[in-house]
Amino acid sequence: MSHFIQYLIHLGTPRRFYHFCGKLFPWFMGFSFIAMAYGLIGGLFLAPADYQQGDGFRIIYVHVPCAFLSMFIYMTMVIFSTIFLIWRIKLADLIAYSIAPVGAVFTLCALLTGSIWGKPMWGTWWIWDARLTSELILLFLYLGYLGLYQAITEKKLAARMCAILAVVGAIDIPIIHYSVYWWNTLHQGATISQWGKPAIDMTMLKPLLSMITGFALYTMAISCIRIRTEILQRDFKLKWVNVLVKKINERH
Amino acid sequence: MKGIKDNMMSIDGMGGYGSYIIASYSIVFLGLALIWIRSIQKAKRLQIELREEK
Repeated sequence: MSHFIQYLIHLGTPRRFYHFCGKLFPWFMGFSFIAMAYGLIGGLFLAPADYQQGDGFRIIYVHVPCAFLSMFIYMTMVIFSTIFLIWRIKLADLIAYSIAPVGAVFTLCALLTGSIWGKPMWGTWWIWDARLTSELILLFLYLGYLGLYQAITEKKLAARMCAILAVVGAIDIPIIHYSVYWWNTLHQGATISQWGKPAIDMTMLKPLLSMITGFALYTMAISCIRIRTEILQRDFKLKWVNVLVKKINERH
Repeated sequence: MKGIKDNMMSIDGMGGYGSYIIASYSIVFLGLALIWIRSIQKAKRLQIELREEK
């Protein structure tokens, strides 16, 4: 077995993953602030105004990272839910559940900022366009996942049902992504995910990539906190948590 | 430096999109702050509960 797989198995226990997240958190947080600061300065002050949209295009520096992460977090949930369903690894379910609220917030932000951008550009706050509607369905999937988890009192059953819901809901992700190609939508096509040259100038693209990186690192930092809390909550009867709490008590 | 000044968005007017830009950035950073506060609150509350219980 390769060293990498051995290392992953080694990390697979909640106790080790708890400490692993604790070590990663400050790095994620620090680099996310640097990336966001560069992205904000570049996006708001250094990038030139768009020749068609004027300064209104600057909304993309928050809208695109939110939209990208709404899908990225959901796909992460799908991967971990699949791992949980196949191998019954409890940590996988715990990770999927911990990151779901973060994904819901990003989806809501993507919808709201998109709506705010739509008013001056399209002349309307909302339209039942394929991209917008499929993104709204993603928000309902997140809310449904979280609601179902809370509604079922038997936690093992809740984990299994929610994992199935997450995997089935994955069908929405390619629909969101390809909706602008499959249907004649009002929403513009992909700007940076094309295989060829990006559709925007480098002076505009660099801050955008920096904001996406900053938001992604922020998500990882928040996820570290949420995963650690969830591990403690589920393992509170275990010996290693007792030892950890004793250590914290001694420090205070 | 001149190039930067030419590109720089005029803060006073923002080309007529000021309110839209401010609203978008406010919503997103409020969302980020909210999820941060909720996560920290939950972690702290649990830590207190565990310390009291053990």
